[in-house]
Amino acid sequence: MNKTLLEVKNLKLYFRTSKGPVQAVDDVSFKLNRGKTLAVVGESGCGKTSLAKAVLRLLPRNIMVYSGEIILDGEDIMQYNEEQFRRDIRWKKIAMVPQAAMNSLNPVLRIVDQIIEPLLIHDRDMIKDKALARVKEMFKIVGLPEDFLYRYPFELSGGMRQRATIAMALATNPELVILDEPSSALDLLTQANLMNVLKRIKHDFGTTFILITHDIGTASELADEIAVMYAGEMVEKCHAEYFYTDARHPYSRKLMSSVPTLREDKELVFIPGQPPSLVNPPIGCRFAERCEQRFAKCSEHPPTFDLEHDQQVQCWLYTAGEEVKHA
Amino acid sequence: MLSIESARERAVPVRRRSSGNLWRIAKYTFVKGTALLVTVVIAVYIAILIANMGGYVDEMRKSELKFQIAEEINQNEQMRVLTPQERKAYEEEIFQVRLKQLDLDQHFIIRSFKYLWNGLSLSLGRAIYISSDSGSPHVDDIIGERLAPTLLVMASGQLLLFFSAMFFALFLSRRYGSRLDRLVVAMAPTSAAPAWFYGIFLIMIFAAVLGWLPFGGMMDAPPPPTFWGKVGNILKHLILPISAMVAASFWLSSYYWRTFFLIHSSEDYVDMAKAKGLSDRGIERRYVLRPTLPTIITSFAMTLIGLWTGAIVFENVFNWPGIGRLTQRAINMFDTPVIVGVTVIYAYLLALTLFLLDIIYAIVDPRVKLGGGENGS
Repeated sequence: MNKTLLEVKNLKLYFRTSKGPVQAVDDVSFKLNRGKTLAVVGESGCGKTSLAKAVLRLLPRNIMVYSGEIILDGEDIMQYNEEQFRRDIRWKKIAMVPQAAMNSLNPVLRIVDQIIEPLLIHDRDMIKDKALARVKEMFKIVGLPEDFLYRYPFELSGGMRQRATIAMALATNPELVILDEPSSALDLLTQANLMNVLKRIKHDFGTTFILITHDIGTASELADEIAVMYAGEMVEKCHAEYFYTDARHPYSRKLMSSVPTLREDKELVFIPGQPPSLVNPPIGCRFAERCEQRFAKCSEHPPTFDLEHDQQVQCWLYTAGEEVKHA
Repeated sequence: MLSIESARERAVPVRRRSSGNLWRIAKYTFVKGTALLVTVVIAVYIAILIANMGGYVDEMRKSELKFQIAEEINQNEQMRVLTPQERKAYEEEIFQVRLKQLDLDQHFIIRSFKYLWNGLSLSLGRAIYISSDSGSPHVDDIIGERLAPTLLVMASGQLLLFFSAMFFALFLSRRYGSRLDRLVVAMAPTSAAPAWFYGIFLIMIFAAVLGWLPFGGMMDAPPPPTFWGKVGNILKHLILPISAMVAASFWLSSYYWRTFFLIHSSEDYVDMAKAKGLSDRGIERRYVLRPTLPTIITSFAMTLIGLWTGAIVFENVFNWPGIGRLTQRAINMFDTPVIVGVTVIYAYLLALTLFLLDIIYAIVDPRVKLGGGENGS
């Protein structure tokens, strides 16, 4: 079996708007190994959700550029046509827990009908009883009582709906599950509960996750690897253990120092300024304007440099593979 | 597991509600029915006041009656022997008798309530001037005779329009921004002109210039002898009115439904359905049409009852013997029983439809509970 489950190469997703093309995802590349969890972090509007949608080819109507390679299990699924993609990829290999679980369930269908749907679509031989048993099992795993299956979404609380969508994502036993801010709309206790459920699933089933979040604290609970997105680009990617102690990109460092920690006594900082507009981003480094370490080179677009521990950084500071100090 | 516990508590009322279902529905039916009935009563009464011009129609009828009696006496040879005074007295005597016969001796306000009761109990009485083609003066016969032609042209036109526009729009909503889509958007304002306006042009082209189709009416005179001949003849007469109706509203209806479907297919759960790998048709059926069913049904029901009143100008342009033309004639002639009859039936149909719609909502949308106040969403 292939060790690498997903490899994304030069993925681009631009939207057409009245102001010009929005470069929501610009030249993003990364690799993800089977059974691992990649957390994609960044502030809102940096293209995290667009990245998720691009992987699952859930494109809005005003699409302008959608290119690159998405290699899943050794096959470039960008080459698949719509029908093939629908039949072989969607929910069979890649499932998703959407950002707004509140609105992600059809209000007029019972929960069970919505969860059972992908099972019946993707497996013609599946009999209803077997599918139902599977759905019930999923409900147990996410910690929902069985009788809630026969309710309508509006009869469930937010946390329960979120669990139901997780059950829905796992029902078909997909290889990759994209979690798009799964807990951001929930209160802290429910959030913690949900993260425990996800951790258990990861541990028991070896599911590969892409966790999209703006909450670095939440990310740390599940992530094996962290990718930082800024203004449509992936500026840093590294193992979680190094990220929390040794983030390299100036933006990542700022991001880390703005997160409160439990055991350390540190002064929280914030990042001055705002991310650039994605309509006409700067030609050079997109973070340069807010960066304290910028220098002449930053007006050119930085390539991605590979550092030790499999760390990748898109910053001119690391031209020599090691951080260069500029006066 | 705190969240589950609290959610369970929340869920309890859901259960309890279902036990008192019958009582709640009965109560709801009563309250809603009463409210609708009161509305109908008020509406019909206002219609009676207007149709009688607040009682002025009585004065007109009285003077007409006087004139009629004077004429009758004048033409009667035997009456010539009477002196003018005697004749006047005789006239007055007959006038009072006729007034009693026609129920005009009571004050209008008292009679208006009589009319109201008769209208509401659907004893529509006799028309004043109009009679049906078969010669009956009864309002229900007159309306009944006109009903079939109106339903024929309106139902076939409007239903064709409703369903063709809706399915075309569903197709369009999948092709947002395409050339066809932009054409529909551009053509929508053409619906500013009413159907009869298009009718005039269609008649000019296809009847006057080309001579392919009849100018108007429902059947040739004399009608074809065989049954199938008649059917074919009516169909031929239907082509132009229906085309006019479709030409006038198709673009706007398509535009309306297209926008409606576009909005509802950008819901999160539609995206989710797509992600789950449902086919386009499956998404449309279960995730677009199904949640919007209440709106579609409402629109459909309103189309259905809208058929009843016909369209006054439209039927005139096409010389169509329907309710619309009947209404116009009745208004021109101050034939109040006919006006009130048409209004009462429409009011009842409207009230009944609204009542049924509420029940249908509760059936198709689980979030709606009849008379339930406490359901969250």
